[in-house]
Amino acid sequence: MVQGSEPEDKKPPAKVNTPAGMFIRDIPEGAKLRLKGEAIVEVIVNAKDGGWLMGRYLESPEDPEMVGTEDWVFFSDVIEEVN
Amino acid sequence: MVTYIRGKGDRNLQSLVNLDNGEVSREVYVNEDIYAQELEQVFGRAWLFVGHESQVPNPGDFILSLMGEEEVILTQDRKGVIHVFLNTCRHRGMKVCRYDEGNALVFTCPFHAWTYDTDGRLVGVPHHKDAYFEELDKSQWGLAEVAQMCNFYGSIWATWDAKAPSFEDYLGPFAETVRWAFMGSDGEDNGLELFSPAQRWRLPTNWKFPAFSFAGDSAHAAMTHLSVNAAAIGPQGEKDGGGRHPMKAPFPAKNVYMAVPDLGHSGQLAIFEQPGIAPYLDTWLADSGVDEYFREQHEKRREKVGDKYIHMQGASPGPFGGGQFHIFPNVTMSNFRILPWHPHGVGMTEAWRLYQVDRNAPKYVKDAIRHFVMRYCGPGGVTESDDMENWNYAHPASLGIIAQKYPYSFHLGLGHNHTDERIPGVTIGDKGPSELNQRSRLTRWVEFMEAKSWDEIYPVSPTKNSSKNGRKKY
Repeated sequence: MVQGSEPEDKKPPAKVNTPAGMFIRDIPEGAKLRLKGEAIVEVIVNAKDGGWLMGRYLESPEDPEMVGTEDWVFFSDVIEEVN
Repeated sequence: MVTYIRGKGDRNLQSLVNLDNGEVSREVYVNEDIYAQELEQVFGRAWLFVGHESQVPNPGDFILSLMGEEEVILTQDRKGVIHVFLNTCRHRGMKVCRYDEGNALVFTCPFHAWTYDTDGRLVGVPHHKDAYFEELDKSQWGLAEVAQMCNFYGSIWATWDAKAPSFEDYLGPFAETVRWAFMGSDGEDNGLELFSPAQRWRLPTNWKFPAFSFAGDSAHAAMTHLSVNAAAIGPQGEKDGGGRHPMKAPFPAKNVYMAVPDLGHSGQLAIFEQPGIAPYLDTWLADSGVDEYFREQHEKRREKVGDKYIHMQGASPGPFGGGQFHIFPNVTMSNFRILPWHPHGVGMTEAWRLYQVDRNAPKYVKDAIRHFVMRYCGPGGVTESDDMENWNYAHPASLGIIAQKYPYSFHLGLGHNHTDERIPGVTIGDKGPSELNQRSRLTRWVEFMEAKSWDEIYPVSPTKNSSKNGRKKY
């Protein structure tokens, strides 16, 4: 079977590596994002390159030492925007 | 692996560059092996002109430049520090920056998205946690940065060689000459900015044709520039015969050839018989208000110079005051233009033109200068078009098997030079047209090409520099 021609009901569920409805370059500073691993970051700077955001960690269940630190976040690690 | 020509029997570099007899083999300009060796031993080692701080005035600003054939990023990081990086991702080599100039928060590789801060640190690697398992040490994979960089009165220079001497030592007696090229017309250090963007174009000739002849070949002007000399392109129009250069007031100073063969730098500059500098002479006759501006600035400069002798400048310092010089290996300069000659294959040169202008000059002054330099210089300038005509045809006419049997002549003025205690360390040619400057560049070129490291070519020592052993003349 040609890849991509699977019937709709046979397709695997889409992995959310690009947040549905989110265009990473348009995410404003101050937005809060949930990442893989359930970390929550606040966007400090958007590099506007479609790939990277600088975020401050507000929650980080897997690595609590990250809370309060700032680091670059790649778009594929973003799950969704949270309010 | 570079093949070192010096090891090939009687075809060593000394036999190809026989300056004692004023002969240079055409192979030096057309041989692929020699070219490859140049990239490594000349451009991989020498201090090279990269740009000017006014091109990156704000944090995150960047321009692309060249060092040899290789593209570099000149950028100001978020803390205000200027850097020069090789424009290649450490992962798979893709360019991390594909715009000639701009402002960036980070340089993100479009291939796999490795991303670098403007200070060169690798700050983002996709899947660093879940697929690299945090085992990749990002601190070891930042952008490749030059070994040394120098901000010299606003001009940015860099070298890939950590063992190179300081930039000021590299310049030697030409340090003050370079400093003056970046002064405002009022004599203030670093008072300039450059027109942006730079002009860039390619000439089908070896880089040494323009680089080793510019500011060292006045003998060409009478014939080569016969037509432009009659075209009245100078700012004074047809007044006083309509020359292509702005008019300058007479002053007791003598324009001569000046060379430091030990370092490779040389120029057509002045020895002054009287302290101070010439008064201002109106020349922007078609541009209202420009002479008034420059006259006022020039008087400020005259006051600053006072009763000092300013040897090794143009005879009438200030914008377009005459005098031009060459910093080895590949940039020619004056106080109104910077001419980098980048190698781009043995038979191709990428020429850049950058033009200095007083940072605080009013717009009508900047416009007048821009119009003049575009008439004079660059790919559309009529003076430099004359020059290109020669270089572009000389190269293919030197490629043939038969043509290569006939060396170029560098005899003009050979052995008829002297020194002057007023400018120690400088060889002077003042008996008419001379190829002294071209010979001095080739002398230093051979030393770079033969040396295995900076230890062999600096500090300069006659006992170390085999190419000069026994040489009595330039």
